[in-house]
Amino acid sequence: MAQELKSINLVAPGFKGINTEDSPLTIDANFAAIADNCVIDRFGRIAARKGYKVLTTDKTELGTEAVEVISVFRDSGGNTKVFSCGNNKILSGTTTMVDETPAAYTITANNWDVVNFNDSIYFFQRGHEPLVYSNAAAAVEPMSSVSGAAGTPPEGNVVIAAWGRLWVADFTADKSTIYWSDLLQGHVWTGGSSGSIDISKVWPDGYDEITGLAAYNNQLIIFGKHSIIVYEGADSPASMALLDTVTGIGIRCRCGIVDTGTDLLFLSYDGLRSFGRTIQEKSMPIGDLSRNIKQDLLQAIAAETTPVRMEYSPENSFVLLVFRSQSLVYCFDVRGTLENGSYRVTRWPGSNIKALYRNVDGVLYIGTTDGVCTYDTYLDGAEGYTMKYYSPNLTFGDSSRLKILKKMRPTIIGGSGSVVNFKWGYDFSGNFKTFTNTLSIAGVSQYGVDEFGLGEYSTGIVSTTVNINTTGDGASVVVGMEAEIEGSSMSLQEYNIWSMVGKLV
Amino acid sequence: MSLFGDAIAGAAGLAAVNAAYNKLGTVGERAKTGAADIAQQGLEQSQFRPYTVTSGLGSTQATAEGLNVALSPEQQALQAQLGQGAQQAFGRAMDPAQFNQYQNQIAQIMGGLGATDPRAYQGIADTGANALGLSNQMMAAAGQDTAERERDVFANIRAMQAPDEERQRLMLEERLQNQGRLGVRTSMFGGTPEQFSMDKAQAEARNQAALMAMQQAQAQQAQQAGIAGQMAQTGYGGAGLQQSLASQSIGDFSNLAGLGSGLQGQQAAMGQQFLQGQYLPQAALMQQGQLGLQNANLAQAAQLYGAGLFGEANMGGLEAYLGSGLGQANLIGNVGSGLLAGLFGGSNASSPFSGLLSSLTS
Repeated sequence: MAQELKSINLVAPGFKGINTEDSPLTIDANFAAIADNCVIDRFGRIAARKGYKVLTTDKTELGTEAVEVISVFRDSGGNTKVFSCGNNKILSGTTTMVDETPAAYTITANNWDVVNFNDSIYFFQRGHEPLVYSNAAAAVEPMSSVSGAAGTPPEGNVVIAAWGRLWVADFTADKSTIYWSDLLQGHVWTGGSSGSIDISKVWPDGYDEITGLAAYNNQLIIFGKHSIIVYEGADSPASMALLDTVTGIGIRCRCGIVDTGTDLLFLSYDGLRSFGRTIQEKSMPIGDLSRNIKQDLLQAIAAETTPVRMEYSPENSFVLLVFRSQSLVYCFDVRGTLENGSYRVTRWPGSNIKALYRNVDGVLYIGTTDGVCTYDTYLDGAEGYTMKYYSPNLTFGDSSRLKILKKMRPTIIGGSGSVVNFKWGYDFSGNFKTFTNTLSIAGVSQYGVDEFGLGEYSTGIVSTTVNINTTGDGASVVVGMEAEIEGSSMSLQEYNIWSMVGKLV
Repeated sequence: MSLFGDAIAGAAGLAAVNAAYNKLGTVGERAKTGAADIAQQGLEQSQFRPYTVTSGLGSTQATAEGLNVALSPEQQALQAQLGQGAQQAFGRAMDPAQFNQYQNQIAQIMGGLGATDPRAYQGIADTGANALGLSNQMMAAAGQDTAERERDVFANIRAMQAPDEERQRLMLEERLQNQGRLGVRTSMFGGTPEQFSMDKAQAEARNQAALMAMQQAQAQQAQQAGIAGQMAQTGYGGAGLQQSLASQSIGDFSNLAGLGSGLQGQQAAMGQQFLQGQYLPQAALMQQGQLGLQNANLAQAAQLYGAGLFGEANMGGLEAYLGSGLGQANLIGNVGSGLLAGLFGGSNASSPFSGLLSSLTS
């Protein structure tokens, strides 16, 4: 007797991002088991991420190393300058990288913390005398060489600019003291209203080490490895007072902190967290934003051997978390949270991203071995990358019955000329059958080009719907796609699946 | 005029002039003789005249040689009696046997009084000595170096202030710890503004304590010096009291002991009185003579006045006599001069005797 075909329409499949935590049989079909090199686009669809466009044409000073830190100097006079750190040098420029390292100054690492403050840009790193650049000086110089410098420049690993001062912490031999500069003078560390605070007696669990600082909601947030201390009134440091403490949560390194404007996100040892803005309560709620990929993230955190990089891009509505030694990036969509309070997340494996910096003009700078790049185009430099999507295990409502997949009908938006492999598999086997399809090439609109006798008609946005007859059977079905992104955007609009439900298994 | 007439005139004139000269000499001799006689009479009239003052006490005669006093028989008898009494009193006063008799009587009296031994006041002396000792100690303490005293006072004040300051510090420490600000270090305040305020307040308290210590040390020094002085007064007063009481006792003894001598002294004084009284009558007569002297002086004054009048009168007569003689002489002289003038002067200018008379009579 003919069985009725059952269908699952995955509209905007994977729009909830990756979920590796829930049961594969009960998980929401709108999650993705795999979403590599994907983002959640503005329509809520799984889409290919952008690549990076290389700006640097002359990276002689960089050599074969990667840019590990990027920052842009800007002052009140409108002067800007892109600085990058790599190959144990301070470099400037984008197309041609110029060595700005002061003479007779030795750099042993590239883990600089860079801040703009009061028409100067400051470079801080543990064990190194802080460096300062200003348009007036027109050169990067040690802080002690700055006119009017006073006191011993603090060689801290963490620096923030807040409330008219520089705040520095995390020293080689002191992990509990925060120094603040004189008001509006980042090169003055003694006299005036400068000072310090030793919080060794404040840690809620007795001992911890400062790993990061943040100024958020008019409060000074001090991160330890497993504690967080919040001070209020830090605009007057001599009278700031302890507001709150959190035990059991800290950050691994200073780079795992990002301010999204509405929230302060930080990477703790157990995932991505947020402080949130408290209005009704004095305590600070801590949200778990990476609950859907918790174990994967913890593994990545544990395996990371270098400082992570985090950056927020409001233009792309995401927060990128880079595990540099693993060439792995997690992309958290911050448009909204899911029912469990988590962000939608995708990941970018095999990424060459080593540094991130969002400029005030919205440009997201990326540091790679190719030099200074921007988040743009759909090529990583000159190379393409693979976009992957795999659904969770689909049971069509009854995991006890055999599913005979009959047809798949994915709809791809964009991907002009891309080769897409559509996959399907059964029963957690990991073996997939493949249907390869080359998408149509989309015409390019040309304006202002005189072409007589050449007729070219643009078909607009390419939308491809592929009809795939499938084979095989199993109790659960996994469908997916893998596409080579080589300069064209691509998003998975819809994934329709028809299956016949068979006997009990 | 002729020469002969001139010569006769001249001779007459010369004779007249000579007579006048002789007259003047005689007058002078008489004046001298007369004055001498008057003087002699005056001398005799002004010689001292003895007088005598007589009364019931006796008589007092004043002569050129001196003053003679004679008591009446009754006064003589009284004088003799007083002299005898003085002799007797002096005799008793200077008699050793009489002195011993008095001492024996006084010793009997002293024994009856039960005199106090001065050594019974030794307790007062001891108290005074103790006071002096204490005074020396306090004076030594007052003379102590002020710096050391200030340190002691300062330490005492700080010992009183320290507990409260410690409590305040601990309270502040707890408050700062609760606020998580215990480790704050600022260039502006050193620590937190509250710590700076507390440190400042405690520093001010220390300064105030130091100032109080200096003032207190000086006040203590002055007080100790004052007490030392009082103790010294007490000590010396005790010794003085002992001395006084002992001296009083000794004085009493001495007074009693001196009483004997006093009795003899009284005898001597009595003798002195007798002696003085013995010469009273004679002194009264001397005074009487003084009274008579006044009258005698009056008489003598009258005598001398009369003698003066006598002399003046005689001298006046003598002068009249001498005056008449001089007048006579002058008259004669003028006649002679006139004659000579007619001879040697006038219209006969060619005469060799002209001008000579003028020259003689000018």
